[in-house]
Amino acid sequence: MEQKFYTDEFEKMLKDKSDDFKMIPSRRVWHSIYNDLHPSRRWPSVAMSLLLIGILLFTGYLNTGNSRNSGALSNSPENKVLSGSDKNVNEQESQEKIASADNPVTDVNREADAIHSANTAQNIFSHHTNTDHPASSVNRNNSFNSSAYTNPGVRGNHNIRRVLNNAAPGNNVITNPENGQQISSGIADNNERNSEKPVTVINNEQSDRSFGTITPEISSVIILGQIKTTDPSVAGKENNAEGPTDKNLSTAVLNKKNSANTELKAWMEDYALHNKPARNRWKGLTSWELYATPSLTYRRLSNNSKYDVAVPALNNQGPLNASADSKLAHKMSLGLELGGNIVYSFAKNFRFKTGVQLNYTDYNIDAWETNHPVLTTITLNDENSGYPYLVSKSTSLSTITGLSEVTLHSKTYQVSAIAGLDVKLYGSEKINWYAGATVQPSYIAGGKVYLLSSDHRNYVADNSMLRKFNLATAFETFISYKSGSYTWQVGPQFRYQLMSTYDKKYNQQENLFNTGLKFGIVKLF
Amino acid sequence: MTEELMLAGCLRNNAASQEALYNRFSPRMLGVCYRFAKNREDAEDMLQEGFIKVFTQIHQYRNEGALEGWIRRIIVHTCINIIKKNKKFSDSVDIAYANGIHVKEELIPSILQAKQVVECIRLLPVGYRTVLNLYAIEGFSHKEIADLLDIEESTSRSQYTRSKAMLKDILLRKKILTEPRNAVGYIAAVPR
Repeated sequence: MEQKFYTDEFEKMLKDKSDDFKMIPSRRVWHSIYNDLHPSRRWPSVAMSLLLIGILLFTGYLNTGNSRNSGALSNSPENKVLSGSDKNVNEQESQEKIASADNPVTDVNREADAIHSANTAQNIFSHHTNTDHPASSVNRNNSFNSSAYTNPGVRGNHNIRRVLNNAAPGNNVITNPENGQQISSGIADNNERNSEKPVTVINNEQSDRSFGTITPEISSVIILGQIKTTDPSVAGKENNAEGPTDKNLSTAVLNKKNSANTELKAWMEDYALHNKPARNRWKGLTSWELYATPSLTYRRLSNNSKYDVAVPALNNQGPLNASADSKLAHKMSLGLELGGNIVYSFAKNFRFKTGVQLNYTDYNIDAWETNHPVLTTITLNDENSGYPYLVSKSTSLSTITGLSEVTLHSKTYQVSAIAGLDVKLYGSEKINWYAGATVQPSYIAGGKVYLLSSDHRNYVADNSMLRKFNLATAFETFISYKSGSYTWQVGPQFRYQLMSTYDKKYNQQENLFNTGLKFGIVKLF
Repeated sequence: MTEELMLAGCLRNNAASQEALYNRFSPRMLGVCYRFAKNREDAEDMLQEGFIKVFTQIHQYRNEGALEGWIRRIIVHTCINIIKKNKKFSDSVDIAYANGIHVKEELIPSILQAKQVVECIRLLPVGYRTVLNLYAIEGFSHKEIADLLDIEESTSRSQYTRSKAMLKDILLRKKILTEPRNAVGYIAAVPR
């Protein structure tokens, strides 16, 4: 390698070694290149991702729906079934309240269901009743199990299962003191889901049966159920069935009732606090806008391009060109637009608006009034054949000379539907700068138009040539200033009528345009 | 796939042909980028941008030289453009900055041959190694380098001389090279 030390050799060595050097790039590089070269082919993967997400969401929704429907109770002599809907449970509750008094747990469940249905439709109850299962005696002596209910040995037809499927993860199992029924529940409050309080559930056989710990909601439900059974009118039945009730326990139950009512009230208040109605998605984004735009109106005259081929043959003066147009003494005049819009901010810098606008357009024509009517012609086009024909008209208005000078007002009254978009170009809290555009399908409610005769020497007043429906577009830019609950806006606007003022069979075309200053006021709904 | 087929496919914007061409030339081109770049990630970014240019400008290739040479030239120019755009690089193209650089012994790789040499080149300051890469390895003239890097031609020459000396010093210290008998006093010329 010594010889490589010399300059030339050194450079050669460097080049050789460098040229031999290779590295394998990661696949990321190729994917980036591919995506850059074939951007459209990224869409299949994006679409597939969206499809998968959609399927997952749909599946999740279906599962939720099924769960909601699964909250059924057996209600037969052997297997008692209640409808899974809360409404049915509530309806049956009133009918079976007394009848079920001899079954405290059933009553408890009903009461729980009533509260449950009043509060959330997402909770699902399931009951298990085990009257003939060998494990029931064990269950009878068992206390609360804070884990989820699992009893793999349960069989038979006397199972009523009710699951309180709440957002809280905790499930509790209650053993019915009477017949070994078990209640699996999972209610938890948003704030108190982790708090546990010891609750003693009263039964007719064992006064000291403790059910361990339970969430306050469950305690409310259970105690309410037990209170109902200790009502004298009902307790008699219960006592007949189960034997004498311990008075001390009744006192304890009453105390618990007060406590439970307080807790229930607190829970309901808390529920109301945390379950506010969904925010109206339109609120804060939708506003109304009123505006007025004084403007100067003028027109652009040209030959009706659809038929102008044969027009020169019929016109003494030839087609309406720039030279002919300049000889016409037309002047712009004041117009006005009044409108109201509903504005919806669908993105940070974009607003959609729609509404109604009234337009008054006017431009002046300096003409001469002749001392007597003269006969002239206007050129119309046959829509079927495309060929022009002349129609005779009588008029006393001349473009050239006459007895006296007169100013004609070519005007229209329009009602336009507005649909448009505003883009915020710059904005601060108070002041914003917008640019916007609208399309305005318009109905021409009335007006006065003067047609130019074929030889350009006369005007003919003929409103039958006024087109009834038209289309205009407008561009505007404005500054808005927010003051209190109102936003004021001002800025220039340009409106152009895309179709001719005249009927399409007239051989000339007039496009009105106006430039004005728009003043508006906007307020959120 | 032959080079002609790949070219024809790339001209039709065919993805398979583009991938074939990429697979054939990307390892060597990444080696080129790596010599210019600060790290592997930067090198891959250079490679990506370079190949996008290759594919978008492939219609300009006229079969007058080797395709690899044409691609390599695009890649090198891409690297230079990125270096010039990146302030981190342009700040250190200054010779004065490079003069103050000392290469620590432990930074010199012990692996052999091509990788060893390339890693030693990459130990040079950016300004030095850019000129060294362009002149000694890519075959650019000092005038071309001056135009590319917006520096004086004399600056390119002096920078190359210094970078070469510095690289030799590194190689000697690592005993990749041995000192020639008639090169007395050479090491002393290495700028510190």
